Formats: sequence, C-alpha cells, structure tokens
Amino acid sequence: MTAPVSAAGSVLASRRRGLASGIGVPLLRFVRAQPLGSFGAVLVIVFVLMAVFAPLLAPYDPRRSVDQPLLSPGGDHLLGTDAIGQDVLSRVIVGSQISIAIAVSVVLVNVTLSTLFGLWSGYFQGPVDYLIQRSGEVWVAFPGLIALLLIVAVLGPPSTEGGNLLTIVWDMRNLIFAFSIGAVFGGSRVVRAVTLSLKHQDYVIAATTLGAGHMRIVLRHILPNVMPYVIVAATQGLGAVILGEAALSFLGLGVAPGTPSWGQDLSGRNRLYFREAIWVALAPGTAITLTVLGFNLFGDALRDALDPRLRAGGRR
Amino acid sequence: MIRYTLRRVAFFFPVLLAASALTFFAIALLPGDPALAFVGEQAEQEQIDHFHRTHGLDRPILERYVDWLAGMVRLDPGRGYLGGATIGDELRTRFPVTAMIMVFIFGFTVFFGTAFGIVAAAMQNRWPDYCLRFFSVLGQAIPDFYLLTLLLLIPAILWRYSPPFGYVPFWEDPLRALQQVVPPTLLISIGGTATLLRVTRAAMLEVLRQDYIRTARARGVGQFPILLRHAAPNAALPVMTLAGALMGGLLGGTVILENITSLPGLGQYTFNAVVQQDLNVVMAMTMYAAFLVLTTNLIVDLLYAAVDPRIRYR
Repeated sequence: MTAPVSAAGSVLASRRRGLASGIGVPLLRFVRAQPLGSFGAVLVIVFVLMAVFAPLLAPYDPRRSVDQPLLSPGGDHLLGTDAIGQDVLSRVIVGSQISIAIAVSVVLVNVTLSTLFGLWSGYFQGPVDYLIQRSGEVWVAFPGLIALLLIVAVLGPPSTEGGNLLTIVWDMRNLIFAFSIGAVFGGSRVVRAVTLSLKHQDYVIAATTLGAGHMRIVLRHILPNVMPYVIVAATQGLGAVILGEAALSFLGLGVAPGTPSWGQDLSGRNRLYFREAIWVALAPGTAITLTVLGFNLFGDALRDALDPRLRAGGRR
Repeated sequence: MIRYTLRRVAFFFPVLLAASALTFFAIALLPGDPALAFVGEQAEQEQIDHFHRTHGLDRPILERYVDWLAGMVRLDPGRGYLGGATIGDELRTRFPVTAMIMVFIFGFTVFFGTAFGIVAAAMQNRWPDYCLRFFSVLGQAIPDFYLLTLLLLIPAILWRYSPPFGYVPFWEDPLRALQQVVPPTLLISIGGTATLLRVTRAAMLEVLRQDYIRTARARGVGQFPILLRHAAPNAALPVMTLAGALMGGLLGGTVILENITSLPGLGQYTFNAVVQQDLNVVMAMTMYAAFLVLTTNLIVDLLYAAVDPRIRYR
C-alpha cells in the first residue's frame, strides 16, 4: 500500500522509481546536468579504487629504499625517488589508503548516527533532543584543528603500520571518532529539522490514524524522505576531513613515521631536500588536492541533485 | 534590541561554562597519571607525590576545576607540567605574534573574499566569474601547508630567493615585519578567501535578483552604487554568519603557519604542548580558542540583530 505523499515526497518517490527502472538513464541525466560533479565523481572513484587495490598497484615496496635517493621522475621510477630512495609513486598510491579509509568511515559513521540521533530528536523530542541540541552548541566552540589537537592529546596520537583498509580504519579510530563528533552534530541537526517538518504532514497523521506504530511510521514514512538530506550532509564535509587528516599527519601527529601518507610525505626528512627534488613535494601535494577537489565537486553536485530545497530554487 | 542582547548574552555564559567543563573533565578524568609521563615510570613515590602537590593533583577534582576556572579568568592558568615559565607569562609574550598573524589573515580573507565575491556576482557567467570560481574551487582543495611549502620552494628554485621568516614586532621595524608576515599570511588566507568568495557570490546573486534592484536600475542608478550601496548591505548577513567558522579556521591556520615558519606564537605553543603531552597547556589553549570562537559568534549575532530587526523577534 502506498501512503499519500506530500508534494516534496512525491518528487522523491518519482526519483526513486526512476532509479529503480534502471541506473543508466538517471546516470546520464546526472552527467549532463553536472559535468563538474561528474568529473569529481570520477576523481573519487579513481582514488577509492587506488586505495582498495593499492598493494597490487604499487610498483615497489613503499616502505623500503629501492634505489638511489632523489632520482628525477622518469625511467624506472615514474615519479622519482625521495630522500631515502623510496619510490614516490608507490608511496602516493599506498598513501591514498589513509585518506580514503578515514573519509569513508566518517561518512558511514555520520550517516548512521546522524539518522539515528536526528530521527530520535525530531520525532520524540523530549530530554534526549534537548541534550543533543545543547551538546552540539557547545561542540561548535571547539574549532576544527584545535578540537583535533585536543582529542589527539587526550586519546593519544593515532598510529598505523599500514596494511589493508580495515586495519587502517581500526588504527585510526581515534581520528575517525574526532572527525565524526562534529559531523554527527551537524548531520543530526539537519535530520531533526526535516523530521520535525515531516511529523506533522497529513500522510503521517493519516498513518497514525490507521493505527501504525511509532516504529512503522519512522521507518516506512519518515526515514525514506530523510535519506537524501543525510547523504548530502555526509558528503559535504568530506573534503575538510581529508584536509584535516593531512594537516595532522603533516604536523607529525597522524601516522607512524615511515608509513606512506600524503601529509607526512610533505614533512620531516623530505623537507630538507625539496629544493633539489621538488617532485617529492609535488606528488603528495597534488594527490591531496585532487582527492579533496573530487570530493568537493561531487558533494556539491550531489547536493544540487538531491536537496529538494535547492531543486526548487534553480541554479545559483 | 536590549532584550535580545540580554537573552543572547545569557546564553553565552552557560555554553562557555559547559565548554570549560568538557575541556577540563575530558582531560582530568583520563585514565593514567600524568605524573608518570613526566617524572618517569620508575619514579619514587615521593617524586610522584611532589609532582601531584606542585600541580594540585592531590586535591578533589571539583576544587581543582573551580580553581582552574578562576585562574583562566585571571589569565593565569597555572604552570605547564614541563616547568619553565607560567602559562600566563607564555601567553603574554606569545600573544602579540599570533595576534599580528591573525589580523593579517582575517584582513586578507575578508577583503579578498568579499571583493572578489562581489566581482564574481556582478560578472555572473562571464570570464572573470569563471576564473574566480575556478580559483575558489581550487583554493578550497589545496592544503594550506602545501601552499606554504611551495612558497618556500618556488622562489628559491626560480630566483634563489627565500622569503624572510621570523618575527620582528611591528612597531620596531614595520617594513621588515611586513616583509615577513605578508607572504605567508596571504597564502594561508586562500582557503578562507575561497569559502567566503563562494558565500558572498551566492548571497549577492540572491539579492541582485530582487525587485528593488531592478527598480534602482530602472531609475538609472549606476552599476557601482547598485552593487555597493543597494545590494552589498543586504548580502552581508549570510556572509557574517561565516565569521565564527572563519575564526575557527584561522586558529588552525596559525598552528600550521607557526609550525612551518617557526614563529614563537600561541599556535606553536599549543602544538608543542600536544606533542609533549603537556595537558595543562593544552587545556588552557583549547579553552582560550573556544572563548574566542564563542565571542565571535556572540558579536556576529548581536550585529546581525542590530542590522536586521526580524532576528530579534524570533
């Protein structure tokens, strides 16, 4: 049985039907409407694949000195070698694991918890809502990098020896926790606002009248309409998360020394030789920039495509 | 307006208090004894007790919290675990360095962000707009520490010139101080400028679409008065809300900048404290950062309400 839906809800429902009838057509429409966003999506996919298959893709062992130090790009080493003769290309490829592992985990945590807290606050309100809202207001006082430094000071610096994506996620759990706090406060606020407005829609009242329980109303009637907002909120801050992790690793508070990581490869011993071997700096720097660029462009396009508030407003 | 101000200020103190409690108890209730990290794992009980007494760790936690809070208000949050100067003395000698950096970054961000934002909106979908948007998308993606690294590298490689880093108080040698502070702060401000540019552009476009702007154009008002006198004040509101977030980014920026250029400011102090696990210092610096952000938000909210009467009656 289909519930009567509001105007905004029907747009979403038709969009879902569109997706169900085959992924090809909506994908094409997305590419045509959002060329930059599609470029961002391609960058994101490339870096995600790179992170997943990093051990297979890297031509050399990224943790070992494999040749003369500071060789120029070309020849056996496409991007040259660094201060201690490690292959720069291999380090850039394997370094993607940390950025992507953190970005993906933060999105998953953020989507799950924002939905949970946001639905609870918006639907039941009461003391839980009050607590979450006030805590969010306090958390805002601690600005990005400072909050990260505080958490690193309290929980200890995260440190990973590398490995596959899952072990890296586990090693970086403190950092993921740190990034998630702020994201979840922001995301649950959005979900709460949408839930509040949906709660008093006619179709929800009708479902209540027909005897649907809270569980059923929240899961069947509110959750599907909230999802686009959650996804948008979760993708928006991703670029900042990757930049934050890179900054921490650059400061030497991120990963264990020697671990391939874009932020760390721009600091430490390598810095002494940048003047003679600029490629050692350019490779990881460009990798961070492209990844963040990809996530930002893709996030913006996703917001334009999914956020019903903007769809009515036209292009900015 | 007075009622709104009172309400807003009444809201400021509980939040500040909650932030201080969060900072203090998150660190104080941490498992593990800070004494062991500083006098050594094999230390005599006497040494540990001495450390506890020096830093007041032997007293009840609530008493310590109240004392700490009182110290923060007097700008004297005690001593770091490592000894040396008191945190208050460090604050007084290091504050001018960071303050100068922040004034420059904030100035560059606000000036370039709003100016280019207005230009981009006025030239919507023409080449200056495309260039500025390209710049802002890129500016948000490039890490600030990478830009600073390139600032050190590129002139060195091309012209064998290194930008002078270091710190000279502005009133002692203004020219040298400017030489030292302008290039790095200009680069650090690029990220914030890019964000502000986007917000300003969007806000200006929103306003420029409205009827009263069309009326003004019909009356024959020129482009500049329309942009600056008619549109900009109304577009300023969404831009102002960004100030709190900018202030937060600014504090992060000073940590990065002072780390790369070895400036003896508060960012460097905070960073060193984190590395050395000197939690007393971390606590104090976090709290001052929170105070700065909350105060900025308070000022913005009050300005906002002063400019837009609708806010006061929410």
